[in-house]
Amino acid sequence: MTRGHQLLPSRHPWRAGTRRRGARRAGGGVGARASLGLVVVALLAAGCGTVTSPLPDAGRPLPLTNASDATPSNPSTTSSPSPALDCGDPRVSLRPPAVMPAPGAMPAESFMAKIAERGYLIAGVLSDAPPFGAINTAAGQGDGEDEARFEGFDIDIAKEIAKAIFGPDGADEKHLKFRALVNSERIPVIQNNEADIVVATMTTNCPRRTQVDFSVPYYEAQAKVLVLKGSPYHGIEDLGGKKVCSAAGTTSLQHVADAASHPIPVGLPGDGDCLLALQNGDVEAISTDDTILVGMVQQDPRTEIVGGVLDTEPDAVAVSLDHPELTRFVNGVLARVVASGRWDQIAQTWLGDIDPPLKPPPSPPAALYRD
Amino acid sequence: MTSATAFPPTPVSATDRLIGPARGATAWLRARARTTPGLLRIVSVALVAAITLMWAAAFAAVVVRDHAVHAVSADAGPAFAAAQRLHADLSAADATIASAVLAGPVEPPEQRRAYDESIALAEGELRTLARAGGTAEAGDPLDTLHRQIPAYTGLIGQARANNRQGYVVGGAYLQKASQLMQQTILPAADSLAASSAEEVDDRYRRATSSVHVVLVSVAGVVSLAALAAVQVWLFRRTHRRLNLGLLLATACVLVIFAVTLGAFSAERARMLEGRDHGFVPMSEIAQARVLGLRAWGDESLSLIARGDGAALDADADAVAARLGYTPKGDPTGSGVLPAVTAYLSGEGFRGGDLAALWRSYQTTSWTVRSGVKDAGGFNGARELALVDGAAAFKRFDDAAEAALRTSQQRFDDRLSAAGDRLRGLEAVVIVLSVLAAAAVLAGIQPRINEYR
Repeated sequence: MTRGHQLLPSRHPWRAGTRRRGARRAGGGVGARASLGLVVVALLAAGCGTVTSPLPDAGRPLPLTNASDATPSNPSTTSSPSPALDCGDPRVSLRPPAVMPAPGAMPAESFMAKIAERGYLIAGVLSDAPPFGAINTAAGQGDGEDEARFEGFDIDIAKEIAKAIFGPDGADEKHLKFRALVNSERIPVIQNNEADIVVATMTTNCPRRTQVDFSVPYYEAQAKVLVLKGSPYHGIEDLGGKKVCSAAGTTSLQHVADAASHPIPVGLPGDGDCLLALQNGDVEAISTDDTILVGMVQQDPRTEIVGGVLDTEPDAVAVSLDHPELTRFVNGVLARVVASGRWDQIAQTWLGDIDPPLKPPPSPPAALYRD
Repeated sequence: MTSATAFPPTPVSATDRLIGPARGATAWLRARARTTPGLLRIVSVALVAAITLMWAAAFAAVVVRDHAVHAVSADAGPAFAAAQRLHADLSAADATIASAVLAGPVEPPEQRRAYDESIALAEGELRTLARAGGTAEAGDPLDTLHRQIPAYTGLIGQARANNRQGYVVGGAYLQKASQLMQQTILPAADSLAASSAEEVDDRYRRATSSVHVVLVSVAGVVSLAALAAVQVWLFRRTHRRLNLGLLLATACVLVIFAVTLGAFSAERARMLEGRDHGFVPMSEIAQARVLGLRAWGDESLSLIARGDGAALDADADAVAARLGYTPKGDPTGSGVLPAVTAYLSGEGFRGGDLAALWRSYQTTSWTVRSGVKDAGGFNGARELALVDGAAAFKRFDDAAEAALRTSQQRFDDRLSAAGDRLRGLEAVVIVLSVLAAAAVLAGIQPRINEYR
């Protein structure tokens, strides 16, 4: 920048140059110092500043959703009837037709005819409640077909209904499709027409009857007590002050709380959790319907069902209120199943191998009809 | 400087002694400064002191930085990586065993092996972390891990035994084990990783502290200014003769100044790269992987619960949202995976597009979940989860693992490069400081001798 001035013609180029240069330097001193300071600050900021290395937000763990605080995932198979709704005896159902239609010849316009036309019956069932409704993942293993199979008391009842519509091959996969349900889904699937029938150890009672229709009971579930074999308990009366488990939010838990012997009720999310607690010694007994207790005995032969009946819960097939003809049809099938002895076969298959045997032995509930 | 103290102190009055050593020292210095050789001795001592100050600042800064870089690359970094691997291995074990149990009473041998391997790896990581000692607050999570992992494997053992018999209570054991894993064990692994991460942060601050730069700069400017002032003074007094000793000392101090700051800057740049291309993506990819494993485990457990897994499904949805996807597999645009993908594509990583792989799994998982609710759909859904879902997840997991290894490697490389920038610097600083001090004395002593 000074060179430009030096090139200017001057009588004393050297002196003029130096003077100019000197003036420049003096004037530029403050600016240069300031800019030097700026450079130092910038250097410090850009090249010398302390580097921190905190965990980035995306590298931090996701807190748990409150999975454990969720509502009990497996509410009762029983229900809590509210006394306000009284429909008389909830076990009374529509009378079956005088003459049952033959398989493959469903009355025109009936819902059964629609099912037959569709080609398959949709049955909502439980899959975690052996021996009534369960998925046997072992069934297909070994023969090349890795296929899980639904099986149990409820499943066999559904198969009888399918056979009555489609004939002897009605129980195959083509004609009978299972929808695995959780307890809370049992009423909605009927109301939303996602299932034609629900056979899922479902207790018939008056509050539910306002939402769905029920067949006559096909099994009379009895609330009982399960203890470890060799324990000193022979019924709820021996369990005063002891911990007794039931699925949270069920009438079974209420029965435990109401028992005269004052056991300590322990509510766990699911029935399986209760069995786990019993096996681990966290509770002394489990109280719930024998439909569930029988399955527990099958899973753990070191347990046994003891004592008297705390309560009875009639299990029935749920059908939509819009299709009374299907309710009548199902009642006809159930009557035939009982009369032909098939009911005893089914009971023997699923409830026969309990040790000690159920007392009283399972028997078909009486069918009460209305018109 | 010893030559200066070799002269006996000038006698001081009794009052001076009474007033105190400070007053005495000042008086002594004044007395010395009255003669030129005395002044020269004081000047040489002051210069050596300035050089010593420069040395002390540079040396201390180098030692602190070197130590901190080493602590990151040898202790805190590996501990962080080990804690993350531990977390991933434990998540993998939990998700794998859930899938194995879902497959039926006879667990697929490869999944059983994968579970055993994951647990063995986790136990190995735990031993490494325990040997490393960790920080004081790491004691509790380590203790939790030591106690709870056996409890977990015990519950899994019961779940497998029951499952082998086809008993549904096996599912309850599996869920209890998984809850223990998700609610107790993994948070402990998380807090181990978090405390290692804090340590990394702390060491990073020390390894790049701007205080060091300021210290070295101040010491450098002070000693250079002192050297310059003395030289100007001597130049004027010695008939415009340059003092070679002092020039050499100035050069040495300049070199110390420049080399130290240059090395600090280069080291800082490597540390910065290590953070942006190593530590940050490493922690994000590790998080993406464990989130993925959690969602996969949730899916299996939900299927084992036969569709009775609303809480599990909700957890899987939360995980998907965190990763940056809706439950159906549509990208939401923000989350862990978009961040990771941006980094990976910037790095030219070729292990697979993590976001696309996750999306493929997520859509399969959604099909599975809706399939369970279809009439007759359970078997199909289970098949889909066991075959396509598991395969899609494995592709994601493998790619995530590869990406994780890449970023860990990058972190290690940059840190060792940062350490290299400081290597030998202490020796350079010592040698040049000694040289500078010697040059000062050698430069001034002849001037003192002129007065003899």
